[in-house]
Amino acid sequence: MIRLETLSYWRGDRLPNTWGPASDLILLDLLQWPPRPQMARWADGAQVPTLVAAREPDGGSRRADLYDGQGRLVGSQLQTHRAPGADEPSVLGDDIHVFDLGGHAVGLLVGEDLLVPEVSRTLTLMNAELLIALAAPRLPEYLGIWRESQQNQVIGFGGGAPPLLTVPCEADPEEAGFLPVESLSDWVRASVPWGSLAIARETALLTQLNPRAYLAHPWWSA
Amino acid sequence: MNWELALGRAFLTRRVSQERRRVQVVQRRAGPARWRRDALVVAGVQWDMRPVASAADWTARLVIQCDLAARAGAALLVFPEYIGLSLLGLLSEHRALRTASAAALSPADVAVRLAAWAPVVVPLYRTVFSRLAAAYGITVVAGSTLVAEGERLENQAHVFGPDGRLIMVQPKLHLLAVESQWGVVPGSAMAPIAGPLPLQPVVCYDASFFETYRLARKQGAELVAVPASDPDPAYLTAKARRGAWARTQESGLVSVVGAGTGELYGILFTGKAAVYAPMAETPAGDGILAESPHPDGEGVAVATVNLERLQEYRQDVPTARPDRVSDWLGPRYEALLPWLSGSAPGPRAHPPTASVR
Repeated sequence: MIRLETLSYWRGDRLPNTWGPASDLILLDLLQWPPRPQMARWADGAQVPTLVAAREPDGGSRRADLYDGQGRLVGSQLQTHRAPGADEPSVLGDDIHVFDLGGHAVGLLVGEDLLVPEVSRTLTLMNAELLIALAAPRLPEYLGIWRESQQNQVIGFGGGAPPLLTVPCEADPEEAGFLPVESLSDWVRASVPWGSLAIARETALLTQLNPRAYLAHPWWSA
Repeated sequence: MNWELALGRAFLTRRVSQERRRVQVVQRRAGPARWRRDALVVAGVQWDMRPVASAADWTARLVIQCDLAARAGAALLVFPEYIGLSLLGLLSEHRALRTASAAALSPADVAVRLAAWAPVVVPLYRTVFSRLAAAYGITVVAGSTLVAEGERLENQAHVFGPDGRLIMVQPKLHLLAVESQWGVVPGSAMAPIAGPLPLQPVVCYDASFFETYRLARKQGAELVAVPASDPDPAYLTAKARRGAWARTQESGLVSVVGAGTGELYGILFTGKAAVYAPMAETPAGDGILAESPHPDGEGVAVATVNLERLQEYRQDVPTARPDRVSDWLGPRYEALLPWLSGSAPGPRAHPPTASVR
């Protein structure tokens, strides 16, 4: 049984030469996809689950692939939304998923999906406790993954420069919602604050949802 | 209802009737304030919530804020949530209520008092704000107050048009836990937009939910009025940025926030009146067109917004794919209904796509 107490993050053009600091989950935010066999070998060497996100060449979709500690591809999440008015990527995913990592439900926000709150809300209603945003556009600190942490009362990790570990304000002693991460050379390491979920959910934001009102005016219909 | 509550209600009913006859606001403008889509002046009021001893005192204080906004050319003025409850100060017992600590008055004690007394002041609240709106020719979002709808107690925002008519009533859709303890129930729908402005009221905590701004935009709103009163004695920027400010960035709609401050019956409020717009449409790039410098005291935050430019800006705001949202969220919202009504133990579990254990 794996556990998910820590994660490490690396961002760069291509696969790193090392597996980075010891952690339970490796997150790779790449500009270029390595060939899948090479990626599988790398993940096998890491011996812990690896989540890798990148964009297909020539304006293709952004995707995140999940490998287990033996280098087997066990799941994939394609970005489901593109920027308004953009033609690319031409192919979008139609489904979103939660992944069970060591008993914790994890949702992935790939690329522009971070900008669409319906995606985070759906993942939360699918019981996601941790949202990980990779290959996402650069956003100011109070937007992006922080915003999704607040309005869904979940833990968030957002790739980028700098990467952010976020929790609902109620679960942060400073009440700001940003938790520290450890910088180690080119890597970042973070402890996943599972204990914060219980504190955050005392505010019970999700129990205050008003589906009757939403269903009375479905904004998604024409 | 016990004798104390009944006596209080009878006393308050008589006072409200007397005070309504005395409400006077000097006419400041003939006809509605002029405005253009490319230069609309809007204002949010920061207001000390303390109880008032007479409607005349209250009106005099309100006139000061209206004068400030009118001098700046405002066509829209937004007051804070629960502003109507200040009128419970007309009740002689208010001193006992005001000095009672939150611990001394249990939520159940507060609930029975609010249910007995708060609806009684509604006619006076409506009269004062109707006359202010007409006198200044301004669309006034009169904050909110507690209104009895049959057996239900709702926290309703009221919008008065520049002719003084009550044109919209919007119940709060998402409640704080303490409001539920007070016996308040959430509304079940967005009010249709009415009046000269493309305006939707969204009451305080409602702005913590992206759904309300989606509903507002669906209704045709370009402006969202947010009457707020945050019962938090310590104002924190991060907490303030997760409501109307965040929803503004997400939706491309402008938010005009009226904020309650001070103390009302043992509850301390902090907050800043503000006008928020998308970051790219604000001079400092921070999403703030105007914001009160302090989370305490009173004042008016005034800004000019260009609805034409914002309409263009919204073409670039990400929206959800309709086909996906109807599949993803529609059924999940429906699945929440039995849980939220207490007839099911919890939201349905969703099996994960893949497991790594």
